[in-house]
This record gives sequence, C-alpha cells and structure tokens, in this order.
Amino acid sequence: MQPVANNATGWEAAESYRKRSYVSAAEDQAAVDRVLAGDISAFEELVCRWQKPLVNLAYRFCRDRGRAEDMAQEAFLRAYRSLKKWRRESAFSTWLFALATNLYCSELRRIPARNVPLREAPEPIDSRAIDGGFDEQERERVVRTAVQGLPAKYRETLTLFYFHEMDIAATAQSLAIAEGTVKARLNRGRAILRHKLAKWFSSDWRQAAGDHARR
Amino acid sequence: MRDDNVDRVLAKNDELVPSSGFTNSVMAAVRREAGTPPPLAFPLWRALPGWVAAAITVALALAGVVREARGSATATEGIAKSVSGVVTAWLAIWARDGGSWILLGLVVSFVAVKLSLRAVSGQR
Repeated sequence: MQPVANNATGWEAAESYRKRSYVSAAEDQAAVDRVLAGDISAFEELVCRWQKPLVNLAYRFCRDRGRAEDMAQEAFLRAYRSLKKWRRESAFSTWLFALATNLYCSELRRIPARNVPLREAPEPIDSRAIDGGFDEQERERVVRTAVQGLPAKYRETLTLFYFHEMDIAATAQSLAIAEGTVKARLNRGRAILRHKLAKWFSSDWRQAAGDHARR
Repeated sequence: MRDDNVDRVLAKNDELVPSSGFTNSVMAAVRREAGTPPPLAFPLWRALPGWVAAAITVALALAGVVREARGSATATEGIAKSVSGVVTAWLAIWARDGGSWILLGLVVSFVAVKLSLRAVSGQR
C-alpha cells in the first residue's frame, strides 16, 4: 500500500504499526525531546503517528467507536503527563502501547463493554454445512462475541496477541507479564473459545474426520 | 472451531480510521493540561516543627506520669494520685516551660498542614 498524505506530518505509512515503529523510533525520540523542552506542538506529531493504532486497539477492547476514541484520547493525555517517566530503555511505541493497554484494561473493568451474550447469537442455519451455514461476517461476529465473553485476563491477552500480530514478546511487554504467562493464557483462552464455539461450528470436527477417512 | 479459523478472524485488521477532529481534540486537551499549574508539593519541612513540638509534649507528659506513678505509696493509691498528679504536674510543667507557646506552635502547624492539603486537592 502506498503512503497517504497526512495533514499534520505530511505522511502516514499504510503499513502495520510494528513496521512503522521500527522506522519512527528516532523520530519519536526527537519529538519527545522537543515536547520536554517546551514545544507542545511537537506532541501533535506523535498523536498523528500513533492515533490510528491506539484507536484500533481501543476498538478491539470495547467494540464501540466513540468510546474507543475517548479512551485513545485519554491514553494520549496520560502519555503527555508521563513523558518524563519514559526511561528510553524501550521504544516510545512500546511504552505508549503499554500505557494505553493498562488504561484500556482498567476502563473495561470499570465499565465493561456492551456485549450480546453468545446464547442470543443467531442459531446455525444449517448444521450440516461446514461452517454452520454462516457467512463470513456472521462468523466473525460470533467469534468476537465469544472473545468479549471471556474472563478479563484471557480476553485482554488474546486481544493484544492478535493486535501485536501474534508477537508474544510484544504482548508480554504491553501487559507487563512474562512470556510464559502469555502462552498459558492464550492456550487457556483458546480452549474456552473452542468450547464456547463448538455449538456454532461443531461440524469442524466432522470435516476433520472426513478428511482423515479420505486419506 | 479450529484454531486457525479463530486466528484468521481475530487477526483481521479492522482498519478503523479516527475521526477528522480526533487530533485537534487531543491537542486541545494537552494544551489545557499544559496551561494548568502543577499541584503544590506537600510542605513536609513546614510541618516538621509541629511534629517535633508534638513529640516533645507527649514525651514530657509521659515523663510526668511515670514520675507521679513512681512516687506513690501503693499501686492503687499511686494510680489514683498519679492521675490527679499528672494533671497538676502537666499544668505546672506547662506554665513553667512555656507550654502555651508549644500549644500555639501545634495549632499553627496544624492549620498550615490543613490549608496546604486543601490547596493541593483544590488544584486537581
């Protein structure tokens, strides 16, 4: 994808935020130095660069656009207040995402996301069909509903794991937990999901059995 | 559902684009924050003389109680005498050693601490 012009910085790479963080580490540091020197407008550069990932991460937690933007704004405000505390041992983006993750998790515990219980999700149209008769959109909605219904620690770990493009180290850094803990929570979270989603996608095991018999 | 199907669904990037006014809204909040003066630090050094005066007063009072209790003939008589004796001794010490000034210092320190706490909480 080609870069798209942005009104504040002049560019916005349409790449994953992880690739962007490698490129922008030096620019982030320079912008932070200017902010700490008293140039508040330099913070706008950081906002423009990281607004999309922060809003998207918030949206993955709360599935509400308005609330996602509110939480992302609060994350940026806290980052501004705590800029002096960034010790530069890790990249600015890593520190920012850890701060935002902490805030989002706290907010979701304080006011949980509105979630339709899985039992109110539509029944499979055709249980004989490979995918239960769901189209792709409906399948995604059911999966995301199931994730929202997980206990907080599994939901948070799964959300961050996929946000960080299945990077366990980055997930562990954001949550400030050990990588082993991340793996354990992922395994447990997936086991709960398999159990929850068995009713809607129970033909998967039949498909697998059929594949095995045909070999 | 197979794990790879779950992976595929959850890894899908929603590509939510922040609203056009998001950056301006954040910067407005940051500028408001920058324009607010920092909260006052708790005046620990100013409160220190008050704490010292309070500690001295308590020590003197305890010393008076111990002195009176030791001077009594019997335990119960000593306790009874010591209670009234402590009050008398305390008042005597107070008058002799400028206790009124100590009391004034304690009151001033207390007021200073309370006003400082109110000023700090009022800033937030």
